[in-house]
Parts: sequence; C-alpha cells; structure tokens
Amino acid sequence: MLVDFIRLAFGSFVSNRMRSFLSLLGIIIGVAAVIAITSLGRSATTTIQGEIARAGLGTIVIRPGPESDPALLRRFTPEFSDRLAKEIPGIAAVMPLQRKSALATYGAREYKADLMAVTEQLQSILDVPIDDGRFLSREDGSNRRSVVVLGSEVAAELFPVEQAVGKHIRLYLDPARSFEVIGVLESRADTMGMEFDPSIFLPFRTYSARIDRVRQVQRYVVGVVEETEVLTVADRIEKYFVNLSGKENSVQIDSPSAVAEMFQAVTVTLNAFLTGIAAISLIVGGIGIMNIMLVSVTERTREIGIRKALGASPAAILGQFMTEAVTLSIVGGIIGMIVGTGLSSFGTWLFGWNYTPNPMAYPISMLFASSVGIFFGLYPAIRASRLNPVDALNYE
Amino acid sequence: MIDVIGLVHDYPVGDTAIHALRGVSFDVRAGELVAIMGPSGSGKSTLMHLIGCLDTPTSGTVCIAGQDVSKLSEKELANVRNQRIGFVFQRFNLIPRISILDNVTTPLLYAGVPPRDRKARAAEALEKVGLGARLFHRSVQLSGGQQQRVAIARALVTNPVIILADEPTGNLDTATGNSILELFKAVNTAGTTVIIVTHDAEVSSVCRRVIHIRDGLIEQDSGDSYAG
Repeated sequence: MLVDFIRLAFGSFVSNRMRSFLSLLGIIIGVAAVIAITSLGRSATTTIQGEIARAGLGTIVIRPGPESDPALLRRFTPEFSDRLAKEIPGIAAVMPLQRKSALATYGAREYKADLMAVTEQLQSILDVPIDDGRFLSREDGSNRRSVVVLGSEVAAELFPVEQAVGKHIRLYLDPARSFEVIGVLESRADTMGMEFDPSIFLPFRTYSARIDRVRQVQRYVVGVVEETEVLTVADRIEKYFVNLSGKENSVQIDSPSAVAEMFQAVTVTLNAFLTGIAAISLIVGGIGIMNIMLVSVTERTREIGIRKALGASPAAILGQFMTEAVTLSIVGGIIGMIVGTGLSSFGTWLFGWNYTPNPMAYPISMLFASSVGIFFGLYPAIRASRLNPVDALNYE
Repeated sequence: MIDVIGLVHDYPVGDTAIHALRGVSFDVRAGELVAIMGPSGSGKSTLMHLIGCLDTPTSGTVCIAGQDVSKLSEKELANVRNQRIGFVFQRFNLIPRISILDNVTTPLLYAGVPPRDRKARAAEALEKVGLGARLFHRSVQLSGGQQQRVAIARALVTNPVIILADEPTGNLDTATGNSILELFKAVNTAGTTVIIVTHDAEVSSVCRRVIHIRDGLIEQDSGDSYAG
C-alpha cells in the first residue's frame, strides 16, 4: 500500500512539475540553510582552533593583575622567570617579554614597529618560522649584541628589493642606535596579544643593557611540557601567585586553550542562533506544502470521490495524501542537503577553511523536514478523507 | 440479493429539506437485470447512491446480500463498496493522470491484493472488454465508448455481486451505447446482478424488469407482476 502511495505521489509531482518544485523551494532553502550554516560554523571553528593550535596550545602568558601590589610587582624581574620554571612543575620554559614602540629606518625608508625584547626561548615556546637568516641565540643575549630579527611586514617595508640579512637598520630610541639584521620571519598569525609581522625582535639582555633598563617585566611567556596539561599548569601558576601575594587576582593568566574554549562557546551559541533562523524557513516551507496540498485536495475532489466509490476507506485517502505531503518534503530535504553540502564546501573553499561538515545536521534536518511534511500535510489529508463520496463525485 | 425497505432520504437545503425519497421499498434477486427509470429530480440517483453505499438514508434500510448497510461505519461502507459493488458512471469517472491499467487496479489496491496479482487481474478484465492492447494509455487518449469499457472493466475486476450503472450510455452515441448495453447483458448473463439507472426508454427496453420512480416514490414496478 505504502509503495503504491509513494508511486502515486511521484506521479502527482510529475504531472505538476513546476508547482511541486515551487512548493518544495521553501523546504529546499530551509534544509540547505541548516546544513550550510552548521557546516560552515563547524569549519570555521575547526579552522580557527587549528590556527590556535599551530600557535601553540601549550602557551601561557602571565601579566600583573588588577590586584597587584608594589611588593609583588617588585618580584616581576627578568631573573624571576628562571625561578618560575624551576618551582612550578609542568613548565618547560619561561621567557620575559618587554615591548616598546620605535621608529625603524633604513636609508630613506622608515617603519613604526613594535620592539619585542625576547630570549632565544621564544622559538621553543611558540612556533616561529624563519624565512631568512637565523633567530636570536643565547649568545646574542649574553654578549649583548646589537642584532635584530625582523617581522615579515617590517622587512618588506624597509627592504622591498634588497636582502635584509646583513644590513644595519637604525632604531630611533633615545638615542638612535644601529642594529644588524640577522634574520627575517615568515608571516605568522598573532598569538596571545603578540603580533609578529609588524615587530622587531631583539635580545632581552641587549634591550635591558642598551635601551631601557628592565626592573619590572611586562609579561612572562610560559611554555608547558605537555600541551594537554596547559590548564592544570595555568592553575598551578595561579595558586603559586596566590601563595606569594596572599590574595586572588594578583596576576592575570591567559592561555590559548582558554581562548579556544571561549571561542568555541561563542561559535556554538552563534550557530544555534543562525540554525534557529534557518529552521524558521523550514516552517515557512511547511506552510508552502500545506498550501499546495490544500490546492491538490480541492483539485482532485472528483478523484477522491472516485477512489471512495471504488472502496477507499477514509484511512486509505488520509494515507495517500499524507504520503504525498511527506514524500514532497523528503524530496525537498534531499535536494536541500545536496544544495547545502555544495554551498558549504564552496564557502569553505572560498574562505580557505578546512571543510568539516556536521554529520548530525543531516539526520536532524531530514527528521525536521519530514515532521514538517507530517504536521502541515495532516490538515489537508484529513479534509480529503472526510469528503462525502456523493458530493466529491459530483464536484466540477 | 438487495432488499430496500421504506427508504426515505432528505437533503437539507437552507432551512427546508428536499424529500428526494419518500418511502421506497422493493427487492432485487440475484441475477436480475433491472432498470430504474424516472425523469431528472425523481430521486433515482439518490436511490442508486443509497444502494451503492455512497450515502446513508435518513430512514429505512438497505440490505445487500442479507447485510443491513444502513448502520455501517464509513470504513465498513467502503469495504462493502469495494467487495460487493461495481460502479459505472455516466461521466466514466476514470482518473486521468494514471494509465487505464492503473485505473482498473485501483479497486484491487484497496482490497489489499498484492501488486503482481492486481496487474494480472486488471489486464484480464481489460482484455474481456476488448482493450487488452491499450493497457498503458491514458483515459484522455481513448474514445467515450472505450472509456466506458475501462470503467466496466474496473467495476468487474473485484468480481462484485452487483453492478450499479448510472446513465452508462448518457454520454455516448447510439451505436456505442448499444455495444455498452450488450456488454452489460453479457455480464448479467454471466450471473452478476445489474441495476441500470436511466431516463432512456431504449436502455430500459433491454431490461426484463423496469422500476419507474417519480417524486421520490415508486410509480410502477414491472418486476412485481413479472415475478408474480
């Protein structure tokens, strides 16, 4: 019986191709939107999480917090980083970081750069790919050499044609000084509030000795042994400073894992919101199906009368029209899935994201589409099943 | 076979009621070929609808093969229509968007016959009415006489005990109409009770028994005197 009803349903679509397609559009758009939005949302999330992971999930930044007092701030010395690394388990390396704006010039060219005083440990904590030359070494610091590594944007601005490595640039501090370029970085995304492309990196000890004597470090950058333990280590660091200062919030601790979690929470909420909007179009699509089914019932009143005369029970008529409504919405759902998959893979290709479809979106939107068919097909089908056979047969 | 006792049927029209049937009683025995005649508005179509279980009477009873159908539910009425009665209409009433084979299989679908048997039985019925070569045509591709043959095949395919025909030749020319009447006679000869509702004296002349209806009452029933 069901097979016959499905056959009848398809026969009915074929004889009204244009009309059926138009009434399907609502469902197609709704399902396609749900699939596309969830897949794009997921692809964006995994792509950005991937970038965060590439930046080093095992990185923690320690800064003075809102409740820091002068006693604690006095402990924020460059040497304190070694003590942190020794006293807190799970830490692989700690590096002090100092930041200052400075105008850099080469010949007639100039660039307002961020000066970053770092140690060679930056490379073991964060992934810092070198484009040319080499990164800062331990000896550069201990010998207080006047050497710098340029971010990609700085290098491009100061050395549009020439090779940067081996040249000397001037940094307009107080007074202006000459530094030898020993390396250039590849372009790299920002991490933990650190920009790479517009920055100039120089040894921390050179900076402290020659530019600005560092008594109080702006921040410590911490690398952990196991990335999976990064939150545990962040917790230990927090407890360590609570013990040290005797109060909460004496330092602020940022980790990309926390950022990643927060980001995920935001995208989940945003996705739910957008999917909700897409679901509304499914309801609109359902109303389209109800409309077409009501038209169909009226148009086929004679047919319903004939079927009743031939022995169709009210349940059989109900079944036939319900099958038609549900088949219509399932066909719309399948087309919508194909369109949605196409849209989301095209969208991720366009934005350069990793295509990560949401497998749950498929059964859920299918279920939703067929529920829409059942819900909005029920009323027209009941109307059809209740028609009086004599009246239906005499209907013009 | 069919017992009609004190059949009354009123239609509400606005505040008043039209008394389509005002107390009709007769019986039809198995194997009879009966014409119900009357002018339009006489109540003959209403009578056919009630015998055909398409409607329920205001009062009175209709018994088909000993079963009182006046009190049956819609589902049970559908079952009686499906199993015991075959309809032939003036306007043929074929479903235009499906093939004639599918038209003829439709009653078997509601009877719960498996698809393969349905097709075989429908093809056989179409063969009997001379349309075995046109199984996959649409009804609109056929002439009126051919369409009525399809309708007869559809009426016969469930092996009903009664064929109810409502003005079956009304839309056909005389020659085609006569060939359709011949078909009804053949069906009747094979043992099926046939009731033809008509206002055409030529049609009723082929029936051994004629019941005349006027203003919702039986005016004359040749069968009573014939049966003695």
